[in-house]
Amino acid sequence: MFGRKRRQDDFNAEIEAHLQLEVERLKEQGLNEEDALVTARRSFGNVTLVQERFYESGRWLGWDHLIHDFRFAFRQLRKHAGFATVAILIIALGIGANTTIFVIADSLFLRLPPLIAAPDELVRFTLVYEDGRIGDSMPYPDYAYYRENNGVFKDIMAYRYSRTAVAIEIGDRFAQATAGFVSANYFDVLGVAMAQGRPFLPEENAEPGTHPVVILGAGFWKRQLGSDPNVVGRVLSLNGNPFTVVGIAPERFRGVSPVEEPPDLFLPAMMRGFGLQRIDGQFSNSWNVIGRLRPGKQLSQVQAYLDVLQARWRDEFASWIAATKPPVHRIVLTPRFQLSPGVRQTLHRLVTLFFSIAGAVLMIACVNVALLLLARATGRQREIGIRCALGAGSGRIVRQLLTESMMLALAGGAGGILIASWGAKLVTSLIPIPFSTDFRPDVSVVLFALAVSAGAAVLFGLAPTWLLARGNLVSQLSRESETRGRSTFRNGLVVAQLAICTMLLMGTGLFSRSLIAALRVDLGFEPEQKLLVSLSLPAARYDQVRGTQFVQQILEQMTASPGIKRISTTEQIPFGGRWTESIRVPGRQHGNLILETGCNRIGPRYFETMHTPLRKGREFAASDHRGAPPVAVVNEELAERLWPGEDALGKSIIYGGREWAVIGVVRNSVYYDVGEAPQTQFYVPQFQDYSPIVTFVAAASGSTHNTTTLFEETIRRNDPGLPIFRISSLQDLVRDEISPYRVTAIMAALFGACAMCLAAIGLYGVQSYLVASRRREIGIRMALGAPQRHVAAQVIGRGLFLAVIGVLLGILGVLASGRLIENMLFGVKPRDPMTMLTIPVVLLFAAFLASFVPALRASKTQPMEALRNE
Amino acid sequence: MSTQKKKERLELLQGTLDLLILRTLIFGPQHGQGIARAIQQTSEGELLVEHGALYPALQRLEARGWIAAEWGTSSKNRKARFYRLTGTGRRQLVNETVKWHRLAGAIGRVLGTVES
Repeated sequence: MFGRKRRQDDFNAEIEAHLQLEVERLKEQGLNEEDALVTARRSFGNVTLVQERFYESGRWLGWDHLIHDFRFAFRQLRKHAGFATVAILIIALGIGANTTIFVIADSLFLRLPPLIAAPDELVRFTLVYEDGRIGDSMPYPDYAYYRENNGVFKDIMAYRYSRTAVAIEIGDRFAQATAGFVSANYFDVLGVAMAQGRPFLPEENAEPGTHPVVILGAGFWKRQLGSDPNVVGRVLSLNGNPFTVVGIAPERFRGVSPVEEPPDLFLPAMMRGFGLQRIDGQFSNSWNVIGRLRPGKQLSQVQAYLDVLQARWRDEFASWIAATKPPVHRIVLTPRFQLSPGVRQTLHRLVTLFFSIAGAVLMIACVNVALLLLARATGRQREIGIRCALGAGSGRIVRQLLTESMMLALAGGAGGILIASWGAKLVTSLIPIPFSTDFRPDVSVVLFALAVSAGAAVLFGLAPTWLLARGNLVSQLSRESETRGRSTFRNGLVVAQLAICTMLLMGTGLFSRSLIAALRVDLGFEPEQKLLVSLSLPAARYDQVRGTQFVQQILEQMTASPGIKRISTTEQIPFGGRWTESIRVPGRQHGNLILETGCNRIGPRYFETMHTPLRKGREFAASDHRGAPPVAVVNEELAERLWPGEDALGKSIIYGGREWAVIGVVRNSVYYDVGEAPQTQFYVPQFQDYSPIVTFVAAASGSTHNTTTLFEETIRRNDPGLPIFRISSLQDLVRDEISPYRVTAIMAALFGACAMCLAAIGLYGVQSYLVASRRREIGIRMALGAPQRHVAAQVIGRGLFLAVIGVLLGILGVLASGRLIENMLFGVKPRDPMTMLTIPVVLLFAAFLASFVPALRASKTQPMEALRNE
Repeated sequence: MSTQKKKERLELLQGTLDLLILRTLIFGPQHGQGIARAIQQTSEGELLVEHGALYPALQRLEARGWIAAEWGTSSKNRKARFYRLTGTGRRQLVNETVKWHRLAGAIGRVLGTVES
């Protein structure tokens, strides 16, 4: 072996030389050759013993043993290829599940977004509200205030990656792109240099609407512009408005956070609303703010400064604060800028949940492999007994057996990494979060898989090993096999497996019920057969009058088209993000009370189109046009908030400097999130409060495809150059919205099914083994007249008994840990009686099936054959 | 070498073989067979040294750095591995010899009183 000081053959040569010298000496004394050789050997003693002792004194003996153990283990596993394959597959599943979750956790929490300079200096502004909630974004004016009064930061930037689609004109076609709005210093604060061109200049974000400039994301530039090298300086048409390209972001730039996909286009914050969308009001919380600390500044110092600043801001804007609900308590600077504490918390909870589920699957897998090893160990008792008899120490045997487990685990670990490398992609493609990281396994992932493999090897290898090595020589050499202690241990493993499985399946049940509840949630509108088509009317060609005319024209032509049952317009689409305006009630004693509330600009017959029931009054009609008196509709929640116990009809609100008469009260809908608390909302007619962003909503009887074509044709007929930036069915929006519940349910179901299969296999294995090892006993009983039914019933009864204990323990576990998943459930409690009843039945049925085949085999035992066989 | 004669020989006390090897090497480098022969001769045949037992001891002493070894040619023109005493080995020999004499003397004094 390498590394040893002296080679064995060198030592052997020395001994050979010794013997030769001795022989020669003896020959000189007169002995003949033969006698001399015998005498020399006799006086030397046991040559082999000496050689062995030399061998054992080598420093690398442990290594030698390890190599031997590995070789032996490999031979053993190859000899039992079926067993090895099954075991490795089971372990690979368990480790793969865990590694998958680790890859995701690693990408989200441990890796930093690429290209960002000195990430330790970056801090995120996190808002803590007085009710304890955490927010990660603030109004633009607030950001501007902190930046202007900044004395301790190197600089502060703000960004908003709205997922708003923008239609961009490239040659004679339109492409859709996502737009993100950033402060001018966005790239400077991050320390990211442009791939081409320059970042925004300070003056480009000083005045609203003055500098139509754009920086392209590298991906978009490559995909849509064919990496055109001369694109900087060119003018692109965004929603019909000209924007000059000033730069291209570097290719590897993935934004700031792993859970935000960087936009295709970066635009100055001040361009928000100019042909794209309106600039936010004071209260629109939508800007993420990140500051770069001056080198050497302590976070605590900067935080103290910010606290003072915030107190001053509070005094200055006291009247405004009264209106925000709930007020901001404090702004906290958080390091690890990639994720805001709120997002981090949510992700943490998800990752923890999935880690527990994957961990449970791994436990079940380990138990299964332990059971397999245990069954095999019985067959190996004689082999081990013989090795003991030949002088192998128990430590040596334990090591040998553990090496075999380790080999299984390592092979499983390698399989696990393979599973994880596509598992992570699969899982993240199911989750509707725009991840910006790539989920490729790296070194830490491999290390993790290795560690888990080693842990698993110890888990499933130690128990059978210990049992084997402990058993005494005599009982192992004799054919006595099943000892009472071992069968108790085996039963314990099966019960543990069933208990974990029960917990997982209960989780699956609860998440499925959540999904069903989310699917059935009363949205306040009906999503079936509704198509949404969004346009942006370019300011250059459409003023308020022409824009309104255009929308009316489309509405009229579409209404006349076949297959269109109802059609209307809306500015906001459901789940499209929060949009609020400030309103107040005229004549109130605290007349300056401002209420921040959701707002939407809609067309005539919107509620009828959406199937939202009107509670009182009427909805907007074509007659509520520009010249008519301003009218508004409020939802029940807002009516109750503004005029508790009174009739809202005939009252009015002040918004945007005008007084709007309330003409209708409409039922509450879901606006932003499934599961949100009732939101206040008011509506004004689109024709009385013009917005260049229009979404047509059509309830159609035909196929989505036909309706889409109809829309495209109608719009092209009226304005061939007008881009459509989004077409989607309302049902798709709803589906995306509830997909977190769907994903959790699918994942839990996958893992649950996995666990149940494994547990059933485990039970099946134990039952078959038991039937096989009791063949003689069963034979005797049958020979004595036990009917087949009794034999079968006994086997099945035993399986069900184990299952009942497992299920009971599992239910106890769920009762103890239910609170962990409580806030991930929707419309169902952790102690849901339905789940508590169904899952045990399912499991008992699985246990019955798993015991059925072994029971059948037991009842088919031929007494004579069983007895003769021994 | 009859069985009779063998029984009369003294078995070595634990640890004394090392001392004897070191002592033998003081006269210059020697190979294993030579050392075994020398111990037997100087003890006038009283000590039983199984030649085989010599080699693990030599190995041990070499590992401790008290002796060093290299292949050479014996007086009869045979290849053999020669051992020689190192500086440390020489000091070790002195220490151990002193210790041994003290031990032997002490044991001798204790045993002397019951000598028949």
